[in-house]
Amino acid sequence: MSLAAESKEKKGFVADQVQGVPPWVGTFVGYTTIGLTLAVLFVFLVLPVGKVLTSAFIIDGSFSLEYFRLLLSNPLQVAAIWNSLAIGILTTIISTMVTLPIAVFQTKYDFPFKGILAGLLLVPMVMPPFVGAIGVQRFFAEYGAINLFLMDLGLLTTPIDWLGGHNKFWAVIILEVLHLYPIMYLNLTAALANIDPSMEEMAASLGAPRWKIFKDVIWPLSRPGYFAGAIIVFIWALTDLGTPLLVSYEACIPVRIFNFVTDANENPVGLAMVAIVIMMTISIFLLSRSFMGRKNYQMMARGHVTSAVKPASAWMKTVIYSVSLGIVFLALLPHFAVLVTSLSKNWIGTVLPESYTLEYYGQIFQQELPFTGIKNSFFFSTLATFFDLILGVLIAYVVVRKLVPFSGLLDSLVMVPLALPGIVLAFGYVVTFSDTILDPLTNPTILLVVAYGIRRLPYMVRSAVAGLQQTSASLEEASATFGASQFYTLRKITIPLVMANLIAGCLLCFAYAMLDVSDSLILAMKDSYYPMTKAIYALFLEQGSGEFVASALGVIAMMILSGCILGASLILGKKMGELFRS
Amino acid sequence: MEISLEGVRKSYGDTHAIRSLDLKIHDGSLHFLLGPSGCGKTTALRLIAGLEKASAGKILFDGKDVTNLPSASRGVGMVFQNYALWPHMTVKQNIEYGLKLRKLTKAELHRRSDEVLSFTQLDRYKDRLPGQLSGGQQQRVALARALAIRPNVLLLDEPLSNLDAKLRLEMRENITRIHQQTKITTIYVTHDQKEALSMGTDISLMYAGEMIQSGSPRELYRRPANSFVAQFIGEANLFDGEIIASESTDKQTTVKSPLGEIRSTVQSRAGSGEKDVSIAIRPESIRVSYEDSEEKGIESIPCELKQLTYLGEQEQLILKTKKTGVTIKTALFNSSLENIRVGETLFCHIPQSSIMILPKASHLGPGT
Repeated sequence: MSLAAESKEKKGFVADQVQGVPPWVGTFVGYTTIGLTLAVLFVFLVLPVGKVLTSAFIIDGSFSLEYFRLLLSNPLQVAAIWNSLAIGILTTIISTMVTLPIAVFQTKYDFPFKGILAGLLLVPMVMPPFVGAIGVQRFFAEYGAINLFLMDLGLLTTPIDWLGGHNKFWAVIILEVLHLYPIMYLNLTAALANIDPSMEEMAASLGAPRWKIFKDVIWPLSRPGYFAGAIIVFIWALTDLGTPLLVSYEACIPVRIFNFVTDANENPVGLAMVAIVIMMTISIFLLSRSFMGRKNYQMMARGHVTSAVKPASAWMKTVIYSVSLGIVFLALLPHFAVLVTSLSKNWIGTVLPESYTLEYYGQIFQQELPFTGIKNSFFFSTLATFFDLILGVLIAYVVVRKLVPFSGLLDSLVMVPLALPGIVLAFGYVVTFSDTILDPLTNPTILLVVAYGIRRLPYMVRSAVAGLQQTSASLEEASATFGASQFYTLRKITIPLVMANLIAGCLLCFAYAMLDVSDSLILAMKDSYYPMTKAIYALFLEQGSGEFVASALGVIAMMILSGCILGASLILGKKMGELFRS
Repeated sequence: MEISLEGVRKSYGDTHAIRSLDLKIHDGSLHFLLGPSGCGKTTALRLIAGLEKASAGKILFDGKDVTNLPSASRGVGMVFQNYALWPHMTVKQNIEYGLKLRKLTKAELHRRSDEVLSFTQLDRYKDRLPGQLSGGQQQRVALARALAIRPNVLLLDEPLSNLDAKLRLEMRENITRIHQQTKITTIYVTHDQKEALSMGTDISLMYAGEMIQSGSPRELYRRPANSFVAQFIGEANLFDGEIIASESTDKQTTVKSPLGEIRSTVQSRAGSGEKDVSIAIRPESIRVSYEDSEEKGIESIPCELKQLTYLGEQEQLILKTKKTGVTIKTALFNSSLENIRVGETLFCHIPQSSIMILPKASHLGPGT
């Protein structure tokens, strides 16, 4: 046997043939990543937030609550705080009520087109709510489609002021619910699906009634997942700027802050307002932590999980379809309205437009503002995605392979931006970097890219972590035993194996950066740097055909976002839900 | 390649995976690291592979210190327990990966990968992805991949634990054949003592991060170092005993035990001052009959038959001594006892030459 013969004569040490890599490289990579991450997070996260807090609390070198007194002595501002809290709480409660039945349908019943329905339920998430707000205006205006329709039917004689006065408050809540319920849905279904059905069966076999099973088994086990979703819904609803701005509901925190930005460095009351948001966010987190009990119950290793999914009866099917499709219909109505608006020609005084045109899509490419917006957004978002890709992969690698002792800390640190409201970060940047080389008034590119990047970094890290965790460390070790350097292993083994996850992560980062509202609205101050979202807002405020061009641009934005998210969810499958947890 | 471990320790914080390990692996041997799970055998293998860094001690390859050399420079071929086949590469690509890193000429590279493919009978599957192979085929790819680089030493980490019983027997033969043909020094980690006994040229038995005994399969079976070894390798009847007389000249020891005062003619392995010892008797060394025996060199003990398991070529008997009520297990081959029944009185005949006196290994877990 030749193999035998040669291995005998090849007694020489293989060490000289292969380039060895010193073992400190892993540690070096670990610490460099930590250092880099800490530096970036410090300059672009801790510093701005800290600057806001210190400026808000410290006046002339000493601690003072003067700015807060000023803020709270203005009844308009106080009302805004209460309104925003109410929006957050009501949005969370209503989303829960909307989501719970459909989550149970999806986990407990089997019915035709289940997968398609599950996908449809997620679609509203990919629809930027502030674009939808344009459509809402169209449909619900005093002489908008809904009123005209009802008047045509003779049900109404004088038009209802749907969006007048206090109704705007509810309009904001409904729009937030319709946009954010998918996040709740993803978390709840993941939590419910994770519960081994045999645990319920066990409780049932011991004679527990259904409500008791829910209270004693299902709820405690799904609570961490529920709260993880609920926090995000609450904070996003509380701090969403785009929706109230376009519905022109001014009596809430985000719009107030937006109005303060123009004189951020002169009017200190804005600082106090942002400080309040920061403190609210932190306390919500601490509160929910204690609710969750910091416990994430580890499901015991189990054999084959028997599925407790049962076929839905005909009656049940009717309920499932009507509830699910009803929600999807409501959620997509505003966006449908945007689509109709963008295609309509002279839509005044009729239920639906009299004729249709593609003219406004043409105008996007002829007018300066919308076309620059698309170009800018592509440029900023691409850079932000690269930023996330590099930092995200490094962080995920260090965290999953535990290259350094406190890598767990790194993991939680990186998740902070997920809960950090965009308005806080953007406001902080304005306060911190005005009159420096990064001044957003001169050129906001770097700040926009970093703001987009940092706030989407958690998606990237989560995607990469998910991929790496599936990739057993022994696959890399096997490569090392053959004499491969760590870099070679990363390139040939690790990266190809997690490629799908990285692409999905990139798509998500890119899509959400493209549609970022708060950073874009606050940081882009000059026309020539307007990203797409700010261009939509500016066009919307214009007289004449502005609203229609804004709608057309909105439709393009929706198409980009849906394309990216669809791609990501195809790649990630069920893992998608993991990305939206705090 | 001769491999030595000298006083190697591996700790993770306060827990010691390996306390202090001295081990010599002879050139060309098929050396088993055997032990229950958690004994540190896989850690020892990973230390040799360079996948873990020793906390203390030295690892030598042919006398050369490799303790601080990374895995990449040691020239080991490793077969992981889960095979660690790269799922995005075909069989051929998996096998050629290590060869490509060795900067061979194209022709040489192909010649060597073809050689290994045919040697492991994988030619037909070379363009498949690992996911398209059966467990046994995957195992062969893992082996082929490790062999392709002509390693100094082949490291096998429980290579058969993921296979079903029939395939396991087949792969045992396969690995023995490969070892005999290539003569590559091979270290094989397993918790299956049958695997170790049937295949190994040497066995090192480990427990709780320490080496208990190292030697040939025969040595470990016939001359176990203590009661733990006796019980882990093969089966053994174990009793507590107290030495009441020992004559070192003719290697005779008299022990007080639940079996009565019995005499052993095998050199005791207990320390000279040790009084409390373990007595180990292999089930197959005990003969059974209806009559008492006065024969010299035989201890004859009256028992009651408690249980009888017929296994074809052998019969397993569980008996209880009349006087003390302790249990004795025996295995009878070609038994002439035709119609024995549970409850009958039988005599166990234990040759004094098969009574092993061993140091107690109570600190070593379930041994005594």
